[in-house]
Amino acid sequence: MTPEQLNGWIAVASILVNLGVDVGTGLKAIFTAGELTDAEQDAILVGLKDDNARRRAISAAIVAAQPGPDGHP
Amino acid sequence: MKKTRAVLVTAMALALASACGASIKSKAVKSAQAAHFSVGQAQDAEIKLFASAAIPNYSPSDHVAFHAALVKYWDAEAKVITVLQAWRAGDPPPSDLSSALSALSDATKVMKQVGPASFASVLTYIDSAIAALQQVLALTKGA
Repeated sequence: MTPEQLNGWIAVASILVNLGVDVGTGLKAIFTAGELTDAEQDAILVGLKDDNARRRAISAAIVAAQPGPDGHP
Repeated sequence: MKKTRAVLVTAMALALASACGASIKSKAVKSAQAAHFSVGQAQDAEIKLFASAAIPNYSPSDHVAFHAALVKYWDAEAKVITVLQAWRAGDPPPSDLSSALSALSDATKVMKQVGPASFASVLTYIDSAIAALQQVLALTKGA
């Protein structure tokens, strides 16, 4: 698991905790204690924007490559 | 004794109110991060499964439809990120955050409709993240 994946799953677990889903007492303490600083928020949003553009390009390429009526993209 | 307790309760209430106010944007950023990660997982999984022809009754046109919905999702998410980046710490939530989140929620619903049914568990995470964002908005409106 890469650091990015780990951070992602931590973020998902954090949301589940906020929604009241039981993820275990020990984990709950970790996820509810974290308050992001302004700098951390900014860094996360910059990272999200970069990855957003990358992922959009991947999906857009798949859509653009779809076969036309003649069987070619 | 009663006076001491009242002072303590008041101090705790003020501290809690202060903490809640400061954490609203933090919670929103965490929620956006969670939603992004979940949808990214769905994208990666769909690409791998389609390439290996592991999804029954999932045609190339289904594959394209899923990614066309994903393009709309990423566009909606980019708007949410832009709004969050413009949100200065300590300010109330931006007025256009609600509409940006609604568009993101709509894009998620389309993804659920066109994606393979086996992705439902992953998309549940996305719904959770969006629900959390809506909770943050409701919290702010009540403040």
